[in-house]
Order: sequence, then C-alpha cells, then structure tokens
Amino acid sequence: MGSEILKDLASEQEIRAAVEQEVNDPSSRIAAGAVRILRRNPRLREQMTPLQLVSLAYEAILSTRAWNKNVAFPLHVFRVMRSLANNDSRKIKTTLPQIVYGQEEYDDQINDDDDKQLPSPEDMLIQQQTVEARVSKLRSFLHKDATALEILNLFLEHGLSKAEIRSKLQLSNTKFWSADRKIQRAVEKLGDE
Amino acid sequence: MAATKQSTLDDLLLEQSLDHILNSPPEEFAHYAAEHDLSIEDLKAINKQAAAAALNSVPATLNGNRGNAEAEPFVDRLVAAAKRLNFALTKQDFKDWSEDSLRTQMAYSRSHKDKRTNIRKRK
Repeated sequence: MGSEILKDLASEQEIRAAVEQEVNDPSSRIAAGAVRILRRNPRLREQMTPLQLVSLAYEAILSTRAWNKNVAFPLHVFRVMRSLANNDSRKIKTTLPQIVYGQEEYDDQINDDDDKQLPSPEDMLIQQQTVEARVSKLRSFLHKDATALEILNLFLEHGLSKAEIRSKLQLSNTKFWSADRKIQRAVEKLGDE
Repeated sequence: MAATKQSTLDDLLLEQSLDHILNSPPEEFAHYAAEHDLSIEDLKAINKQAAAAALNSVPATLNGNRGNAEAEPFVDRLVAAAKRLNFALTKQDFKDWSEDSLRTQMAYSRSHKDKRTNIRKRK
C-alpha cells in the first residue's frame, strides 16, 4: 500500500523541476488564482499581496507539502495557496479581540473553538436568508444570459461539475467558457457589493 | 441551496472561479484577465519572481530527501500520541523506519489533517 502511494508522490528533484519550470516559462494563471483567493479573504488581502501568497505556496511545496503527481502541478499550487489562505484567515480571526459585553462572569465558560458552537435557529435563519439573497442577486446579474443562468443553476442546485453541465447542455467549448466567464464576472460583482 | 451557509456558498463560487482560471482556453483566460484588470505579463512576472525566490530560500537537500527536517518532530509527535494511548513505544522503535516509510506516514498524517480541517470548515 505504501509503495503505491510513494509511486505517485513526486521526489524532491521532480518538485524542484516543476518550480523551476515556473521560472523558465511562467504561467499567468497561478498568480491570477492567488488574486482570486485573496479576494475571497478580504482581511487577509489587507496583509498579503498575491506575490507573497504565491511565494509562500512555493516555499511550502519545496519544503513540506507532498505532491501527488496525478494532480496537475498548477492545481497543486492552487490547493496549497487555498490551504495557506484559510489557515492565515483563521489566525487573523482568532487573534482579533473578541469582546462580549455583559458576559464577564461567564468568561471561563466561553468556548474558544468557534467550530464547536452551533448557531442558534435565528442565526441559521438569518444566514439562510443572506445566502438566498446573494444567490438571487447573482441570478439577477445574469438575467440577460440564459445559458449562463442555466449553468449557474445546474451548478448550485444540482451540484453538477462543469464537464457534466457541458455535456447536459450540449454546448460548444467556446459557448460554454464564454458563459462561464460571465458567471465569474457576476460573482466578482457580487463580492464588490 | 437548502441550508447552505454563506461561507459554503463563497467557497463554491471560489472553486468555480479557480476552475475557470485554470482550465479555460487561452483566449477565454485572456478575456477573464482583461475583465478583472489583470495584466497577463504582470501575472507571469509575479509567478516567476515567487518561484525564483522560493528556490533560493529553500535550498535543495544534499541527499534529495526534504522530509528530514520534519521527520524528527513527526516521530516525537507519534511517540507522544502512542504514550497517550498507553502503548509502550519509544523513539527507538521508529529508528528502523526507512526514509520512504517516514515520508509516506507524514503524507498520510498531513492529508488526514487537511481532511479534518475541511470537515470542520464545512460544519
């Protein structure tokens, strides 16, 4: 079992060669991914540039992260960047002062692990309404483009992958990616609001 | 979208965007970059600079085994975990492990940790 896994794990030389390839023939998509990941984490974006995030990812890849060669190298870099961004966002969140007025007497009972605290039914309702409002706003941005709207619905409502959506809608490559780009523009607009 | 949290929605949309960035044809990616005020040449320069800096700051190991630096603390953690479970294991017991076994175990451990983190995030 172990040897099968090792067969897929890149050696140090292979990892360095993949990073060197990005020096010799740099891809523009990796840094575009870093920009997008930082947009998802506004607080982190105030403290980190895309260059820093990509650099940190390469350092982690060169020093500790295992790379399964079945995963394309740029996708591996994306995953490492997401993981680093998530970790750093959590750190920022937990180091910001959490003041709860009127709760001083219960200080020793406050659970510092957010993940273990279940939201109240009211919070869940508010959260659900926020999600629905955001989705309906996203749909409204795309109301003039039936194809983009259909792709978005299949993705959000049915969880279909892009390949499944393309095959279901029988779309040409060009038409599909063009509609998908419009969705990205709408998502970006949603993030700005 | 029943019972979807906002963070889950944002993660789904991020996943979609990253897929677009990575897999769209070159002409579509060029449109994407232009629409987001990103210069292809600047993006390439960022990537090149980051890769070069990382190669400089993380030197190649002499024996080609980059797991050495983290192997020691990893074995310490294993021994501590074994102790908590009342197993009579010491560092000596792990001495015969090959570098490959250690690398595999560390990869397992890391992937398990990532999975746990993802599960906690989804909750």
